Amino acid sequence: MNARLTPWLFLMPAIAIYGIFGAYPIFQTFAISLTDQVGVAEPGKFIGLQNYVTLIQDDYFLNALKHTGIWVIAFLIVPNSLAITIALLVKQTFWGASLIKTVFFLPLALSFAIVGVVWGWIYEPDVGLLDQLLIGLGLESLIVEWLGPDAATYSVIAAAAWRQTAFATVVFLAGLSSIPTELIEAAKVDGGTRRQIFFRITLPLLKPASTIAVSSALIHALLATEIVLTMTEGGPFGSSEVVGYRMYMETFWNYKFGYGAAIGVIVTLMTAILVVPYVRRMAKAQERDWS
Amino acid sequence: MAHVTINQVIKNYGAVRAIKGIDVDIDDGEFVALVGPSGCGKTTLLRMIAGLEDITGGTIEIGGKVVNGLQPKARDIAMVFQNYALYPHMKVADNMSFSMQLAGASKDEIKVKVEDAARILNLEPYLDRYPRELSGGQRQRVAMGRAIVRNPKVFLFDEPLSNLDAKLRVSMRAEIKSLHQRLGTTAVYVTHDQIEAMTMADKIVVMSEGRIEQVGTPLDLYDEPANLFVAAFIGSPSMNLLEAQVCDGGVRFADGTVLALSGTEGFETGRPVIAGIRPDTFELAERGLTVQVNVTEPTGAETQVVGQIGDTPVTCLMRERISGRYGDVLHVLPQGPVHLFDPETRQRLGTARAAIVN
Repeated sequence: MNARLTPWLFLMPAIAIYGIFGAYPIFQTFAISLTDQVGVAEPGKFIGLQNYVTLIQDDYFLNALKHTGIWVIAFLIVPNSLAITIALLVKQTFWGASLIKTVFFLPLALSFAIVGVVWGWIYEPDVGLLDQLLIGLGLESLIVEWLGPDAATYSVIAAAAWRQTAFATVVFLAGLSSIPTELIEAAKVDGGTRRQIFFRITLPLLKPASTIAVSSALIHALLATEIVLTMTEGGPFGSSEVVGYRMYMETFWNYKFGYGAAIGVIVTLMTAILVVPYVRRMAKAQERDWS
Repeated sequence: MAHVTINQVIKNYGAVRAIKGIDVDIDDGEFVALVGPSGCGKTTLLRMIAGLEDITGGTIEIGGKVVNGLQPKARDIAMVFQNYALYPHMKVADNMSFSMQLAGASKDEIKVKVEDAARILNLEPYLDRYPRELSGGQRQRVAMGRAIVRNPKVFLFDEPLSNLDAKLRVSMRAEIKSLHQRLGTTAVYVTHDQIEAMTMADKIVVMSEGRIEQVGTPLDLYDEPANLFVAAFIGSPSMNLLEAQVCDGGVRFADGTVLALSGTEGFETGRPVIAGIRPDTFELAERGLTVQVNVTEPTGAETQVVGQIGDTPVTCLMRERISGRYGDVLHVLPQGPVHLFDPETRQRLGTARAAIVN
């Protein structure tokens, strides 16, 4: 066997799978986005960038894009900072720590779609868990229409953040346990306060973990389709629509395949622009610190 | 610089008492080695001095001040860890100056101190590198540099050479010792390697199972071991320990051989003892103790004979080049001290010397 061929042979299965399920659909989506295809019966005719021009004047799309922006910002900050805090707390060994860990990890067993259904019940007016809780605590004044036009986006984000926090906690706990105890002890002897040690030793050494947590948060925030679908269907009055949901609606509800594909291409581009440089930079830092 | 006083210190881990009431006085500028087998509590004691372990009972004073309740950073100590514990995301210069940065020292001050330390340790070309770009020996130096830059009251070393290869270990040993003599800072050095302790320390604390077996200068411990543990632990190869009985004018070994000794007059005849004889004190003789050879190991300068006297394994270090084989028989006599230990209390009763053979 040719020695130069051997590595490629080993790579073939991965390349084939990526090609069929990754590269080809992306390419095909871009091709469709340049047509006015409706449904799947017959191919549409080539219309150049017309779909994209329409998109940037489409109020529905721009509204969804704004919500996606809120998702990205909220999803970067809320689950990750909560997760680091929880990870630091439950990393201490105390009685019941493993029980608490289990409780925090449990949401991971649920898909975002299921989380949407469950939190839909929690947000139910009057009889839902949240309203009942607030009533029980005598805090009725705080009750709002959780899935109403003003709050819907934030309520959906909160539900999704609940699950994302569980994921990020697992990742950060693993990251924390990979930091040798001696480093923290050395920093203590060097005169570090808890705060200094956290910001100058722990946090920088959590880079590999935060790469995973942050890119996962970005990817989920940019799509965020299933949970919007199961909780609010983008409503009321489009108040919780996101670009992923728009893509789904235009394609499979309105049968505008060409137009939906254009949204898909935009989501792909946003993901690439936000996630790829970040992962690259972090991978370099990781190589520097951990070899 | 400061003296360190360890007073009746106890450490419990749950129900287990790891340190069972220890007293050590370390003088200003002294280099003290804590030595003992794994699990003897030496590292725990060091970590208690550092403030990384709570003290269950007793007190530890640094420079006349009780530090029991103080955080590590308030104790003015520097520590070199076994695996160096360098911050992987910081360059060498930042690793060394981290403590000064935390203390809010000025950039100029940090630069001067780091360059001083780097010069002492020959680290100048590496200040801009990351720890991963350094060899084991260089990382070790950076860990030392980090301690030097602090200019602390006390240096604490936790088996700092155990991750280096044998050759580097010997040269770093000398380097640490000369560094200590130059800086004159009090140092506490934990090791399981008795040769390291012997060669570097002003004073050795031999520990076993959470207790102190003996404290003394290296040669005190070698010449006058307090008990069987120290006798066997200090010195390499370790002391031969042979069961015997005091007889008129000497001791009689289990195989019936009588060794004439001066200095056994005070003991009653028939008293069981354990005779401790250093391997290097043996010399070939016409008559004497009968050694059945198992192997001989020539090292060039000397020959190590591994064999047995009766049923007891012994090691003899001979200056002659002997090429004995399995089953050969040698006759040897100790030309140095013969330590006598009580088999019950395991304490040293006294030291005798070989008399003229008869």
